[in-house]
Amino acid sequence: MAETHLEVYRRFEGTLHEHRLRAWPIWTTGLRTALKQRRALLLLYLPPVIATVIFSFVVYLGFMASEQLERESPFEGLGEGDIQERLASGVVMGVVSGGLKMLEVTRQIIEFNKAMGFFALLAVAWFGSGLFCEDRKAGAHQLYFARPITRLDYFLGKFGVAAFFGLCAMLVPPLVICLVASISSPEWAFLKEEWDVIPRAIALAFLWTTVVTLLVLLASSLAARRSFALIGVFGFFMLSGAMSQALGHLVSRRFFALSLGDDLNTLGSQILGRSDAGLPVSPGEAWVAVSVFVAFALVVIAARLRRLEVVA
Amino acid sequence: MSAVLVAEQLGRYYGQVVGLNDLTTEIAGGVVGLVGPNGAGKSTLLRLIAGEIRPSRGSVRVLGHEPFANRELFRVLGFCPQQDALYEDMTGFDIVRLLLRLGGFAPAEAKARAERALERLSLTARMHDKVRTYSKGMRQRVRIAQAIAHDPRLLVLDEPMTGLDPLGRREVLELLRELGSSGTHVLFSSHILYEVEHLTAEIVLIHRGRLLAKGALPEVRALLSKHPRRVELSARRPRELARALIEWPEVVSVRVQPGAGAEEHLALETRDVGAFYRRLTGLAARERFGISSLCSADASLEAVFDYLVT
Repeated sequence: MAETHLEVYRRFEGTLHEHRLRAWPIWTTGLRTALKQRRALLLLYLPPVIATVIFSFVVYLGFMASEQLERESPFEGLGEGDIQERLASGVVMGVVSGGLKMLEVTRQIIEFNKAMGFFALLAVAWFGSGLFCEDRKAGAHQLYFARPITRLDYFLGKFGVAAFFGLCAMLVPPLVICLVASISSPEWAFLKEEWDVIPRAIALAFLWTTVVTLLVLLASSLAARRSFALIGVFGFFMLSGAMSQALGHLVSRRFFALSLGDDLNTLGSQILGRSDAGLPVSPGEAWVAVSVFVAFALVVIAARLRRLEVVA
Repeated sequence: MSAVLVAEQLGRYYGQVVGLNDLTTEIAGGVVGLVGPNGAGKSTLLRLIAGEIRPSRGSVRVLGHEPFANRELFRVLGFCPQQDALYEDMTGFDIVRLLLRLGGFAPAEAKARAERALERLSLTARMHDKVRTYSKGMRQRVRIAQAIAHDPRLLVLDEPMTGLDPLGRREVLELLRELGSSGTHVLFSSHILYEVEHLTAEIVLIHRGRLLAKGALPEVRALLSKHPRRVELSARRPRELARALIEWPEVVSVRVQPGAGAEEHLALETRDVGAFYRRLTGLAARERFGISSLCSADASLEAVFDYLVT
């Protein structure tokens, strides 16, 4: 049935509020929309969730077994003369096995964190690859840029959407495992002795997420379609890896730094306080390579956002 | 009153392609129709006004502001682009609310305004459905809703009738008329000249990136002196009337045309339609030619458009 609306449109008489973080509505709306993709979320996050649960259980069992061993009496079935000697060795063994367990858990968390990087890349690529190119394709940027926001606000809003999914994969699992380790370890020993693993894991998660998100947004700003951006992201990882291997072996070891994956692994090891002689890139070279990449990505994204105006 | 739009030697080039060239004009306000053939530069002009693109040369000021990336102006400007511009995975309501939030409205106010704007466009029943399920006309309604939702002082609409059915067109025309009468300045482009004419007499006509005409349609028509105005008359004694009229100096030609049945009409051309109408009034009072109808056949926007563009 046809309707007419002849009422006079109500004018706004109030005051408009300037958001301190003008990217916030873009971020929250982007997240709300992305979180509706339940199938993608399930596929992307089920493996990390399963891995986290299993790993948490392993950590828990490890501490329980260690505690059980420590509870066993070192004096059972001994003669009087051996008591002093056994007592000393029991104390030493308890301390050593506890320390080893702690180191073992820390090492496992580090390895687990590195493994999560792959899932973080998948999640960021899936949810972030269409953020700029789909806007450009549909012309949605015209609606955004007719509002009182800057291009920086627009970028930050989109960056936040993609980074959120990276952090979910990179940050949450190590924190859960650290929590389990803290609760399982006797008298919060993990928290007391290995507390620095937590800020290190957080730092690594933020570094990895930032770099990977910038890579995905860079691809999205350059590509015409989301699928092209996805191909670009994984193609970049594979090509840079292959090129770094070839040039690193044939020309100079410094070319190993061309592989963003190797750079991030090196930095991960450094941040987590674990020196790994097997890595091909030195931490200094890795920092330089990652910094150059981040600067390059930011410059290209800024230029592409500026050029959005000429796209009719 | 200061002009809503002031453009001085405004030009915009896309590489080698000229989108708009050397446009100098002032628009005082009200409801103004922007007309021109495809590729004339209408969208370019509207996007320059909406601050989406920068001029390649010259300058444009909108409500006293340089429009490009001007956040102050964007608070009082509503823009409806020609492109789809909507997210398939979001609902119409979510899109309008997001854009209101970006405009600085608090969440509750943004929600209320989004609902009201979509209701104005008769989308209440479907506003919580995803855009991918919308028809072309419904998408257009969402675009218009987001442009009016924050009560802009200036509304810039690029082909707002695209995709709308006849009822939708009428509703949008009615809406624009109401907005115009409530003090909102409306600048819209359209290919459908009848609709532009129906809504406003104020036009800006551009062609090949240049301004061809601007102003009230009758005034623009009057300026086209090389095209005599055509007037059609019905009378009981058309041949006698024709003999009288042909003597007048402002009348260029008179033709007797067959009408329905035995009836005959006069089609004449005049250089000065004002003088012609004045003399005709006197003649009709003196003589009894039985003039029953009188119309100006080429004062329409379509005729003006044809004269100017072809």
